[in-house]
Amino acid sequence: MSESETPLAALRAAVREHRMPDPPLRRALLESDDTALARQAGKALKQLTVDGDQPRQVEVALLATCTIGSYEPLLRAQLVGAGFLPTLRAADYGTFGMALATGRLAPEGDPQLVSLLMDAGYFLPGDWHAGDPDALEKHVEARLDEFRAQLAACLEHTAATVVVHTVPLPAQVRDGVISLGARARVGRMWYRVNAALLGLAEEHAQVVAVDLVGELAEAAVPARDARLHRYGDMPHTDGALLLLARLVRRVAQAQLGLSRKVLALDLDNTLWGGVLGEVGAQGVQLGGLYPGNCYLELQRTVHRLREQGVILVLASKNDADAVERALTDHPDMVLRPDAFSARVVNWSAKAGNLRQASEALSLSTESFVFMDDSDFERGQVGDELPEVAVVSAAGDPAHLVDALLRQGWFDVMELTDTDRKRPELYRKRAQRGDFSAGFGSSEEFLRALELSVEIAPANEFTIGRIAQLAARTNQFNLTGIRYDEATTRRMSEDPGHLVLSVSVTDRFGDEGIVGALWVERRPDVWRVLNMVLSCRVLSRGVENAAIGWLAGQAREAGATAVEGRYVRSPKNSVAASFWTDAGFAPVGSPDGDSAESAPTDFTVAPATAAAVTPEWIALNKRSGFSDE
Amino acid sequence: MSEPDSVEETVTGIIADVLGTDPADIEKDTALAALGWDSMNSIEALVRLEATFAVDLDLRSFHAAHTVEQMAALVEKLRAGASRHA
Repeated sequence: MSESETPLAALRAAVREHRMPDPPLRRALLESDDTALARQAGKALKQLTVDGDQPRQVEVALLATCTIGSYEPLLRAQLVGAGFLPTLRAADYGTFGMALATGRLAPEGDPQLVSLLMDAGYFLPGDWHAGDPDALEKHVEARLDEFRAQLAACLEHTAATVVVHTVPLPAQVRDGVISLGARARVGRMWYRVNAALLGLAEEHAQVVAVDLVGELAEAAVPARDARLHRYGDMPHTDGALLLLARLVRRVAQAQLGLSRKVLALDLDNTLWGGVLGEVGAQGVQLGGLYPGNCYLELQRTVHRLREQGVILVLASKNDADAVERALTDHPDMVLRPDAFSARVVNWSAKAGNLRQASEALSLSTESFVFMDDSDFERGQVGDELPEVAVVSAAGDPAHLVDALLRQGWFDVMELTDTDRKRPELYRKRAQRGDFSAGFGSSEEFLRALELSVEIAPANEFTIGRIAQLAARTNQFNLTGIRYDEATTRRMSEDPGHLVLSVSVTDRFGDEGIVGALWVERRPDVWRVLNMVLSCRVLSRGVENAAIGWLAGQAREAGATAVEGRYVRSPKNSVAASFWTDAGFAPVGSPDGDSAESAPTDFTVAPATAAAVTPEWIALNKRSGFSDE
Repeated sequence: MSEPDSVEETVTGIIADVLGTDPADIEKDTALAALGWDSMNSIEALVRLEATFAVDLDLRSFHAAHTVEQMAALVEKLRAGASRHA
């Protein structure tokens, strides 16, 4: 039955068996444009609970200026498709202004995301005098100001990220104005409304603005349903709501650490047209007229992704020397050999090659996107590594760029310096893999790395990166609490708290900020609320250096104990013995396996923990507080 | 595309699904109001019926239909009209 069962039947089976739908089914859910299916899927998934290891949870409040209608199931289907176990709370009809102004978004507590659903009717007057365009403009401006004020009030009461969107103007409003000049003026006024909505993201760190109008311009769906608008105050079509659900799902992915970091690319008929082994480097299609211009545009797009921190991997079945020559010598090549942080060019199966690249880069295949024109290769990777997001490069090469970007796999909340340097860091990191093969013991290797660690209080320049680490780090994440940018900023300014960044340099280069600690600082006890460390510096003792440094500071401040906590998650077993390894003793509940996900607390005297800094790590002089 | 079900059976299936009841509990002349039919359910059913049968239902006649039988008749009438004009 499973072979022929419909996606909907497969989803219902997953709900019945209390498990997440498997990756291929989730991918289908993400990519399908079938609104009827998405609507039913979202409805069926409302009952979803998961036994055992819990997927990433997300709580979203929905506030609308109209009837929310099918937006709730459509968004749920998208969020489950992305791997979340979502809880959606839709506000009652007609409570938009009230909920915003009071900040009471959900009675159950503060959600992580708030998705606003707005329609043109919110800004427009019910009727207006066609002879007085100024009055119309004034009304719209006043509504916009009102919304702005309500949103600002709301942000005072919530730590949630609020997603606003641009709103399409119904053609019937434009066309009702018959003078062409006045009609252009109405259009201009409306663009100003949308520009102001997009501008809210710059005014408030907690606001994300997405461009629904831009999406609608390229999607083959009508924006409005006049019938349901009049009948049930449902102005948007399901097609438009699905586009919005996708945009909001991409925000959730970026905010809660599900962005992809690695793009693995095939060569023949993906990055250039033709087969290198048959036509030679001079014969491949790249640049010039169609179809060469399509491949050139893809290379430019990929290069821009790299400039924004996406790590490139070359995964090609080819002769390695020929590939090296083509990448180096072809005059129109944008992606030269150095653009790739890892290259796996051979004749072996691509799933194995991706696994190998993932090991060389120390990045899980869960953060991989793989693009290939061959159905066979995509199928093989999809079967063996279902966690990899597979993008098809088959079909007309004119669609290559859209195919790569459409799902927003790489979206991030904000780019940091570390992001921009990442591809280069990882290229060195892959070289470092070779370097480690030549040493007798790991300690010998670590000494030769010349590791230097700098620990510093968070500041304006580092808060963005610290919040990003909190969102993205899954493995070495002691308590799983993901402090966002606003909370981190508040804590860093509060004398009772301490937020620290951990930076690492070694002989191969500057890794930048790779870890962070959030600490509650009381006179007697310093308590680590959470600590995260990027997986690329694990097993080098950096975590011990950080806690050793913190204990030293606590001792100097006269504290008598440092406390910490570990909360098990499906992915953080790597940090399970961190506290005991650093000399901390468990307190409270007996250390047993009776309650698996119950937090365990640990404590130690500062003097004991101060000694755990490994001797191969130099603490940078700049570590510590300035005396200003 | 083969069509094993009659229009009436398909309509019953959609309405049962929307209401979360067993299709066997819905006779063709059961008043839907008795089964918890409300405006949200009716819009859900409307969207599904329109997508399934590729028709545009007139909201006024749709809301005047109170049983599966009447809805199926509405769909059949539209489909007959559509194929005549095709």
